[in-house]
Amino acid sequence: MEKLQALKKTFNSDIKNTDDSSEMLDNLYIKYLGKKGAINNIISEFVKLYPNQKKEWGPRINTFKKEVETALKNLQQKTLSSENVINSIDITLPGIKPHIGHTHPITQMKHYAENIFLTMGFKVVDSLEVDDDFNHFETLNFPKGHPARDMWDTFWTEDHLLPIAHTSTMQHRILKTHTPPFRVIIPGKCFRYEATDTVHEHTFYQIEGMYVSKDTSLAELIGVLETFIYTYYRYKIPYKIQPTFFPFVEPGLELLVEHKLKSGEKKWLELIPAGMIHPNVLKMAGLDPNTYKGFAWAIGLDRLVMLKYGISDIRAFHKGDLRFLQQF
Amino acid sequence: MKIPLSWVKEFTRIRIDITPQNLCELLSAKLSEVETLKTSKSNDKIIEIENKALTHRGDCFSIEGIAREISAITNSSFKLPDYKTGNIPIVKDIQIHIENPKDCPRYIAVKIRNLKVESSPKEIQTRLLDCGIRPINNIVDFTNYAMLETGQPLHAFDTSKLGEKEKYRFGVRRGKKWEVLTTLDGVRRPLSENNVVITNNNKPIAIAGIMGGKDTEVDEKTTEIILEAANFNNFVTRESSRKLNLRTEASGRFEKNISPDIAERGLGKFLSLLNKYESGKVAGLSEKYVQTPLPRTIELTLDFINKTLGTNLNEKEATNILALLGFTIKKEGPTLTVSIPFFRRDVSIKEDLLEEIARIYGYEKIAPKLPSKEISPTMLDFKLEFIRQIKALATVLGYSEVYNYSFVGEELYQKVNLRIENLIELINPISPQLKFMRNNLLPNMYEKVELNKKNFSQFKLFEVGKELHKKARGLPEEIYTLCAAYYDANQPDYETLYRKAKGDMEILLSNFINLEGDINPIFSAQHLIIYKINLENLYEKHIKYKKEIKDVSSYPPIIEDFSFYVKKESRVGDIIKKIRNINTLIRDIELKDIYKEKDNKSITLTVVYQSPQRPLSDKDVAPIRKQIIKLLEEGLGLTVRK
Repeated sequence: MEKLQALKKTFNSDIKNTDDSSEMLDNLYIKYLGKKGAINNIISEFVKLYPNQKKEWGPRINTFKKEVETALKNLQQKTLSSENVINSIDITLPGIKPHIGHTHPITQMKHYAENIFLTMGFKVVDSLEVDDDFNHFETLNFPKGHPARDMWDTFWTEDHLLPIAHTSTMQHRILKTHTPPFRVIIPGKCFRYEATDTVHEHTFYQIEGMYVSKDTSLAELIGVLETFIYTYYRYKIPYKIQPTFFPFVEPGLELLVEHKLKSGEKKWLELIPAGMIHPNVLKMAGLDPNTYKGFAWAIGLDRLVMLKYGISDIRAFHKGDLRFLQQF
Repeated sequence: MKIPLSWVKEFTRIRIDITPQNLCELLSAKLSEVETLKTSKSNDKIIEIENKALTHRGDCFSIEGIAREISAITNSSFKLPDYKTGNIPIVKDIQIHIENPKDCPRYIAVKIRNLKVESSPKEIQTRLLDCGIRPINNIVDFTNYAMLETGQPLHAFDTSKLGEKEKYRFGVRRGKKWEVLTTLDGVRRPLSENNVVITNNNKPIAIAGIMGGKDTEVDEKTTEIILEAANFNNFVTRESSRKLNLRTEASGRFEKNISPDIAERGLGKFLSLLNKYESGKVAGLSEKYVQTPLPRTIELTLDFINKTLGTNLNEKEATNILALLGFTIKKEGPTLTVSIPFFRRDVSIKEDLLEEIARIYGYEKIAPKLPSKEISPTMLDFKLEFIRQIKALATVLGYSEVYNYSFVGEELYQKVNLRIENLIELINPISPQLKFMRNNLLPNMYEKVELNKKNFSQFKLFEVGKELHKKARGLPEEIYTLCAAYYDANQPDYETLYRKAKGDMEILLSNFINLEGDINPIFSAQHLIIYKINLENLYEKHIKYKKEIKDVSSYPPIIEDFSFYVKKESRVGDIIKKIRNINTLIRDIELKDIYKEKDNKSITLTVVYQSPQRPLSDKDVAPIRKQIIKLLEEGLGLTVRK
């Protein structure tokens, strides 16, 4: 059992001489605590001892084993300490990135806008992609041949249907199927006959909004739009309201927000066309305009994304280039 | 539309403290966006105003109309000159026949003699140039000047070019298919039923409300004209102009439903210019006018105004605004009876008056408030939420979302061996590549893969879009569809590529439904697998699906590997399914390893046995193991490597 004394000495010097590397630590483990390590070696000799000798050496071996274990554990902790790890590697090496996917920026914007309106109690209803003249124009107070139809450069199919040029195409259906008071938003993919360039695109995305009740007012329309833009921009962005014309609203207006250009110059940007729902639109859906009032608006999602990120070419949205999409 | 400020000031005295810049801001806020404010060569201020917001305001396409608006906006005085045309003698030698008064409610033809055609006076030319109209000669310039000022388009025919003298038989009728007219711009235009034409002795001499004919044009030799001051229907003019693809200052005004009563003002202005510059003498006129009565009064109350606008106006504020705009108001009890002036053809209901009051009062003065009605708790619609989840999971799996046009062309379909069959076809596509509406998301997805291959050797893309299926009648069926592409040029083994793509889809689908059976891609090419999933069907299954969460067993599992050979063409998935059915204690089977030899595949399956109720011993597992080996050896005729 003199071996135990010798082992204690070697172990102490081993511990002192270690360089804290994990390989050294592994070696010490094997040397002392491994299956064929020094301690097991001693134990195998220990079993051959007489009982009285066992009584003397047993606790000593155990104590030593515990000492080794504790010392090695301490050593291990030291080795693993961040300071040590970072000292031993090149922290300037680039990270190994996992491969993740990205939702489209317009999807992100759509969800964001939807969420704001959801918190204001609006229900989301999906839009159609193709509709008929009746829903798209007639029920929205555009009689056949009305010059205002020229403002909507629509595509037409051979069956006299049309890829929708505005999400307002859902208004009549919503009015027919909902009992006031109700609040609804309608996101949708829209199409207009327009040659594409950096600022024009024949395919774009809108969120329509509608509120109908017995006693709503223009002040409430402005209130809802103001709440939306303040929440969206997360500050009280300056805005103004101007009159404009759409056949399906009366009065018709447009909300403009102050936009700061990179040059620092400020500009008013038309953001949300809106208005009080025209009595003819309510009438067509069987609602008495003397009893019910409503308001509606539309928000261009493409526009919001372009403003948010300063995107200068609208065509990037449909190009599908991952070098663009991965940035979102 | 360009508005010289000096011209406006002929009719309204704008308060001195309002600068042109202030005026532009007021016009933007209360009428229509001002695009630019410039100083012209003649040192006039030119306000350019957007037309879009004035689509319904035929009266505003004139200096008179804008001046009236400005007077209301700035609370300034306003006065228009009176024109007296009642004393012009009626001439018998101009007959007018109107085929349909709906097309043309009013036609005035005035004969003017002793004309001296020359350049128009400088001040007339300057005004025209400031409005973007090229001066031609005094007669043409006077017609344009009168149009800009009053909003009434006019046209002059040279009587020497109208055939037989002193016997003019003017007609207003629809065009005929075989007829052709060369217009002032020198273009030969085939006519049709869609065009209304002015005829003399039944021969077309002008396209009504759009442009005159070349043959009867005024030139330097002209000494006598017939001046037309007419009114044409807005719908008809629009259709006619669209069919000819010809838009003019005149057609733009008639399309906006201007009042037939403006014709008199236009004529009056022209004659006053003729008189002022001593350019000719009126011989007499001939007129046809079929008046259609319009509702000319609207009743409303102050309470209605304030409730609908959310304002607190007093009666004087409201009625003052209307009065400034040319309305007259009578009060009886709480009811305000508002008479609509003839030039405001856009106003017919009380909501129209609300807009007038709101915009002139100022939207900025209306205090915003939120709807006071109760809000019921809202959640995103279940299906829309489902689509959000699909997208979220796809991105977690490394797929990036692309957006595509709904429009496709034949070429694109051919690239993935699809035929254009039963697709919705556009009659006015932007290009042949965008002629149809897609019934399949695959072609666009393939295109996006091709594009990204140039920059990436490995990527995953997805789109959630609608496939449109044409119906015999009515609207097409719109099917929400997921299309997912897996591309990896670094993966040499196609089966591995396939398994990876399939694994993605398995994870995706099993999140929403109890995935049974195989899912198959719809398209494969080198390094590429594309899957397509009908989300309508998936959603139907999803809403019925109740996810079962199993308790995690606290007893240790027994895990063992089985290695065996199967024929190259064997289907490993089927073998796994059979083993799984042997006993419920088999919790999991995983394909640990597969490699191909000549005619065989070497397979290693890891089988995990576990019970939720108790620890397992070899006693439990041994009979199952036996069954597995038996199944592998006998049932499937495989060799188990022991």
